[in-house]
Amino acid sequence: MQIITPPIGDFLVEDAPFYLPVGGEVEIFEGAMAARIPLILKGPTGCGKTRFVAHMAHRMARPLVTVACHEDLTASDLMGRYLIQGDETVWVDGPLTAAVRHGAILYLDEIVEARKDTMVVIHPLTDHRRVLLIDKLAAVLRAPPEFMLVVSYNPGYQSILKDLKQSTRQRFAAIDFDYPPPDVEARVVGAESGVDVHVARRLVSVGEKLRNLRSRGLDAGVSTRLLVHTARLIAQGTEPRLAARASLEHLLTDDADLQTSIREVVADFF
Amino acid sequence: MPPPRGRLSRLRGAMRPALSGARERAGVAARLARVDLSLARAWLRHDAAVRAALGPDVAAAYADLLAGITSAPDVARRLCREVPDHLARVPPEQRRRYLGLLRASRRHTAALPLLARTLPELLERLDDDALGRFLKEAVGLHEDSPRRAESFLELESEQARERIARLERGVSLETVRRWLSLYARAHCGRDVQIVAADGARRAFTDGQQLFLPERIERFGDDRDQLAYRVLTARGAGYLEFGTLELDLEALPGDWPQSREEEGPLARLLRGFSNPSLAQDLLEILENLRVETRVRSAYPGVARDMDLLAESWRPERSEREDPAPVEQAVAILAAAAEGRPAPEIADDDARRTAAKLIHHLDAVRAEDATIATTARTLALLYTPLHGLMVRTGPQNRAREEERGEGGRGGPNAGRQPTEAGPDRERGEYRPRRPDPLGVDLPVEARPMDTAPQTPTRLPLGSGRRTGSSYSEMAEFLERLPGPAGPVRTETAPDDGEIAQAAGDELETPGEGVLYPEWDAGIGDLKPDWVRLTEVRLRPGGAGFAESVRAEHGALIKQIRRAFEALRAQEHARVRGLTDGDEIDIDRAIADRITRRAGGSPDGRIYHRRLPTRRDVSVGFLVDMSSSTNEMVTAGGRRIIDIEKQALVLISEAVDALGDDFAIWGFSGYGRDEVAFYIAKDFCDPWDAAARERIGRISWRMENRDGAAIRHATARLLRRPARARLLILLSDGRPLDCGCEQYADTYAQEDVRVALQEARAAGVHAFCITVDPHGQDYLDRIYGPGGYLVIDRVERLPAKLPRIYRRLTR
Repeated sequence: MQIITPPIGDFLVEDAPFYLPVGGEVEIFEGAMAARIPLILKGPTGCGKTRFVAHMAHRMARPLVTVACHEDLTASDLMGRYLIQGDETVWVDGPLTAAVRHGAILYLDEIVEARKDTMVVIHPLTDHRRVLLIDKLAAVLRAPPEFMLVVSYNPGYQSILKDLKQSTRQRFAAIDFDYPPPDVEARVVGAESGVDVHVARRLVSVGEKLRNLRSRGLDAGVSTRLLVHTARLIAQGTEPRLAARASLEHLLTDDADLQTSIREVVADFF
Repeated sequence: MPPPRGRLSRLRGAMRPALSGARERAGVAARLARVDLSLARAWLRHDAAVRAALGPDVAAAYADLLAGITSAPDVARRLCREVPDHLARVPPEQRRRYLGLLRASRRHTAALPLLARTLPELLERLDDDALGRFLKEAVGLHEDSPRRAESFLELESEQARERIARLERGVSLETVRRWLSLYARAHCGRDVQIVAADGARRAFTDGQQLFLPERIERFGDDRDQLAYRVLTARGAGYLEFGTLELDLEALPGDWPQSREEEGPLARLLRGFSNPSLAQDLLEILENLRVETRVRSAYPGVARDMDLLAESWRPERSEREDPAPVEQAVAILAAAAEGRPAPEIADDDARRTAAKLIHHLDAVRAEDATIATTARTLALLYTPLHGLMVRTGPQNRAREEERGEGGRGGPNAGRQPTEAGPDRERGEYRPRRPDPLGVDLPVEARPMDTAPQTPTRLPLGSGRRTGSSYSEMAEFLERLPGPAGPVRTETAPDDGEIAQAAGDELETPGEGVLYPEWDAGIGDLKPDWVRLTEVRLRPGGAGFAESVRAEHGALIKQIRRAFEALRAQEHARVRGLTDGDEIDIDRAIADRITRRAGGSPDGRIYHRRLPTRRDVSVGFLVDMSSSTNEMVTAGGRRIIDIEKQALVLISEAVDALGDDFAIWGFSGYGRDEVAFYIAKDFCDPWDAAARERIGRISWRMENRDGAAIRHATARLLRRPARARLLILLSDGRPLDCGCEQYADTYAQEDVRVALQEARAAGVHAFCITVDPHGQDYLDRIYGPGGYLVIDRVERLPAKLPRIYRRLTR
């Protein structure tokens, strides 16, 4: 029987992704990889978790396999499945199996969104055994030393039915992400979008002020990613207040009063 | 032969409305007869026609209007004749409003017939708020000259036209209030209530309320809204830049003992021999400091300040014949606000001010704090007070007598505060407040509005209603609920619920003991609280009917949406082109087709669907007396809206098939925590359950900790995989039946109770309508563990959506 696995070269991160470390996360990542401890990246949406993993994969020259988890994601979506091709049955590796075979960094984004049965296959990979049991192949894959599992989740914004269980949590080390401090965030916004430092600083101030409205109508704070989007629109020549209208005001909420207050906060700085 | 029993009762049922209508009419006629007999007769002549032509609602409002004019029967009679004709000119949807506005002006009886005649033309042009102001002005004119009022109301006079043009285009606070409060929160990170100022009280008092003018119509264009924005930014600036964070102990000098209900700024001012002078200086300096900080932090606000500056910058009407010290203060104020110095006659004043003006730079510095302001105040005060003493003859005599000379300053000024400043205040007349400005929060909360018992500050406590009756009603409603044991208490709610306790409640059980966390000793006190379960009895079908009447369409919509979410019973879907596993039967059939030369569709996979939802949820409602607070213009109480929300969410959860219970709690003291059960897990969701929700009413205090522990214990008895506790709260935990259960102690107990719940596998989520919640919510519930609803009236529609998000 033929086993198909995606070529590893496809997963290498070739161009260095821009990332500004905030406090020790690079050291923790390197330490965790050396110690073979899987990592949880906690933090609100758009604060740089995914970018950080890409940055580390590039830095350590490891392939990176990313899976965006969703509520229909099952264990076999991760491990792989049999397909019938012509007259033949072939096994196609899922992203998890491929990552273990190649000793890649496997990044499961928003892990709690996935179905519960996925945890069962992940558990043996996260402790001293470091194995992947593929029942359908009747095979056990041993993870090479370079294999690393990284998962992310957003503690503030999700269903209470999908919390991470303690028995899962306690297999990991965790890095807590938040929106970067203003000067770092301004550098990120500037570097990602090409706007000058004054515009970036003012955008970051807008973000900071709007984060005060969390739980008061805004479900999540204004992410660094959103600020970067706004900055990119501005860099394209869009008038700043118009850019903010599209990328912040109308995007974040449908509540008219909240939109007005967002608009006025933007007008405080632009 | 008597008719059969069934028919008789049907007959009675059919007659009931007619009978009650006649009874009502007789009642109204009696009320009117008490005012004036011929008024009652006139009304009886007109009523039937009004009722027939304009409907019963308008007829009732018409009768109400007439009954309200008790002091002038002749006016009432005249209105009784004329109003039906005027009403005919008013579009149907405006008729209630028309009568309401007339009723609101009923005390100005002489002007009423004129108002009744002219109002129909004005209704279309102005909104309620603007119209109210317009009428007020007209009534004022009427007292001087009815002729002028007439041409004003008929929009003939120039004055009226200009006024209405501005009112039409101006901005009322009501329309911008909500976004302004969000805007203020964005600035200072704290929840700020925006409250309409009524002229006399403009200062914001406690750092939680920001007083703004009820309406700005100065420009009649977009700039009116900008003015609101600038005022809000500056007001929020006091919080953002720490005006209230004055620490007197850290300042050199000997300050007076602090008093209860007194903020640090008021205490600072008491330290000066002339608090009025000190307050004016403090305002000038602190406004300058905060404005400078706001301008530098928010370039957009600075731009708007500049844009508005020329006409917006409040012009204070200066005193005539100012004393030298007043002139000097005026020079400093002008310098601080960037205006040209006023013409000054007095050399002394000019010289003193010129010497002092450089001190303003200290508070303009980027790192200036309120302490800088206080220090600068002391530097300015001494020479100005000296100027006052030198130039005021009576003053000089008294000061010399006291042997105090020209010394001012915080230390020299520490006079017996009872005598000194009070007598001196006459010599320095405080500056007139600016008409549109934001004042400093120096006033402590006035004693007469302070709650008598340490209850929570009611929602919207700064709301002004205008009429003394409604103020009185509001005051009465804010009184704490009746004291005494839970079991004999009756809830003085609207008639439907006010029944004897024995009728309403089933016999309570023995009670369960729960521990309580004492933050002071850092330990649990075992068996500290006695909680008693009380089952609410059905009754009061009126409530369920009213919810159905008001939200019938929404209920249908919610049920449909949630039924669609109900997980399907089939565990597997077959015949997929892609799935978890190969379906062997289909794969073989596929192969046979292929071998036989056909082209199979390749649907040979199957996939498992998500397992059934397995959720138990308990809704726990805070039934404390503060939920009696009126929150909407229609006179709705928080508890009424919460009850509606409970019915709606029950429909949703029932449609989903989740296991749910509805509880409430209240109590008084640690022996009397009552846990009311409106719907238990095993109760079906039916008419009786709806009626029991109708029985939920406001009672006494809220000792949240014990109630959460009990709800947790009950949830843990359910076999579900996921257990959820949703709290509906209107404020912080507080039990006045026990001195200790307040503030940190109570909040820590709740935090620990929630921790215990979480450890046991119960997830808690809090939905609160407390606008002052910011300081404790994060700590107790954790970020993402709560939600603040700023418009309570939207809770019923929102709750199902929140639930869906929590359990998706």
